[in-house]
Amino acid sequence: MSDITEFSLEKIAEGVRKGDFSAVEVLQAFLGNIAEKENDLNAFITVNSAGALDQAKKVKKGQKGRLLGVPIALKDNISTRGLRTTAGSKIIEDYIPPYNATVVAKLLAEGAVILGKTNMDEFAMGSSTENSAYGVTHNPHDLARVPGGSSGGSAAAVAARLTPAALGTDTGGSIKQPAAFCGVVGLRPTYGAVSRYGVIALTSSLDQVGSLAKTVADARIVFEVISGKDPYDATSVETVSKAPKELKGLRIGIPKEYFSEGLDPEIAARVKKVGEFLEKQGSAVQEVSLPHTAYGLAVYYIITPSEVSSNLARFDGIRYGVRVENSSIEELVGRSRGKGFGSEPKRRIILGTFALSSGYADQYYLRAAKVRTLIAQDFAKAFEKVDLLLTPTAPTTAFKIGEKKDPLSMYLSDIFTIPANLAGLPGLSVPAGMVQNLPVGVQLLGPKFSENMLFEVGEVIEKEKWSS
Amino acid sequence: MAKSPKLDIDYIASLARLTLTPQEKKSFSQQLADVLSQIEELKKVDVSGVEPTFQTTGAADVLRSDEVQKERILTSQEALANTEEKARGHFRVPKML
Repeated sequence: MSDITEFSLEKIAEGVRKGDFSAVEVLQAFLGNIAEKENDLNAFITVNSAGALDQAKKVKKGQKGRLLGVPIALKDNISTRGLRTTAGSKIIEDYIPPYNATVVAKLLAEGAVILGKTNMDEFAMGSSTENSAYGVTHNPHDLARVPGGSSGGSAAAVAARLTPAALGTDTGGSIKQPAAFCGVVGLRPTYGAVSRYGVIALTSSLDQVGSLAKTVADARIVFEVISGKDPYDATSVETVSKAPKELKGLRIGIPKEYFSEGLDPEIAARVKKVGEFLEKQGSAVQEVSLPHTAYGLAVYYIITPSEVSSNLARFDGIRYGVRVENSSIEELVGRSRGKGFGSEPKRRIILGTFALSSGYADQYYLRAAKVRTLIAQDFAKAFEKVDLLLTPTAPTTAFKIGEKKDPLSMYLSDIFTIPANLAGLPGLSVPAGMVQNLPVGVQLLGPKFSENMLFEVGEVIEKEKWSS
Repeated sequence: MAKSPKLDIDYIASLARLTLTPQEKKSFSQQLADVLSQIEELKKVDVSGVEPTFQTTGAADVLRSDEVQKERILTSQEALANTEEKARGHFRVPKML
């Protein structure tokens, strides 16, 4: 039999439905790859072998479901009933959620099998998956390099065919950037398109759940399954994805500010080449300006820590997680948090608490929120002239493990994904070949709910053979 | 009246209910000073008359009917399942009064 682990999601579900192969056979094919490669990659925190087998055995041919018998890996900040969920942190190392996130319930309703929980930077704070309490994930293209992050386990698992598709979460670029580093497709949907109920919160005004997959078509199916209004998440909205437009006549903008120093010249050349290719396919490419781009990072590193300092207050040692006994409640809470959290959450809690503290909140948080408005307005103005934007996903290809030692240089790897996220816009990272034997991703950004257009253009890009 | 961005780490850590080691206090103070100096860049932007963005959906006052959602109520047992420190259906904490 041909290799199931290379099949599209549609082909897997169709094969299971027709009885060409069983859900158990599908699962075993992926568990086989996990047995072979996981020791080198460390893409998973928990492989749900027994639970997945139970689920797969219950799948019968002829059943309905867009993901019938399709194994899906979930980033470990997505709650799974009865299956340990750590968010990459020691502070909830033994936490077993008593309920499913809405996205998990939706996957199960379409017949998917939960394969396991993937590695991530602690509480999704990071861009390399080096900040996990469960060890570093390695990039399947070069084990000495990072897979990106924070959804690095999901991206590596898809790239190495340990899973046919995965869910990640994206706050500043945590789906798109690892997708680019690992040579897979990554979708960050429009803010509000997918419910976050049951997803461990990092930055509530930015967090979105999205898909990572081998192809645009697969990323699209998973998005269609998980999206939609959820009464349990007041920020979710009914997805009114606009109809795709034909590539012919499509107006594509390339923002000049994204071609600044720090961008690898070979990646810059590849993005331009993709632009020329799309022009040959009948679209009109023009340069546009997003003048506040340079401020995106500073805005992000005020808003995110501020929301983090509030969201992570729930980890207090009382109801779950690490607890350091003390006769004083204040000491119990402070010491439990001090013991359980790793460095990056602590840094961000301190920074955010400072940015929101009396005397500084206006100077930092409020000012950042205002500059955020200007960044969103930049995009709104650009979308008066063009239908979508084409940019590099990340300024470099995957960097070496241990290479970025100070927090600031790590933060810079999200410089191209942050601004659109601050504006709540959808983005798709699509592989565009290799540079120096490492994958390169290009980022397509559109107005809110333009996912269908991003998919259409993304499919044209992924079908082209990009040199080396 | 921009105050100097001097971060009093002991005070902030106490606000955050986060016990730090002396080493952490030292390294965070330095690293956060670097991050704050980058963030000072925002002072260059003219934000006069600009409204802040706190969320991007445009939704306001999302309400639901005040009804019990039975399908997502945890039992006492489920709610207490992730701690050893429980007594008679409650979470156990140190004496506060």
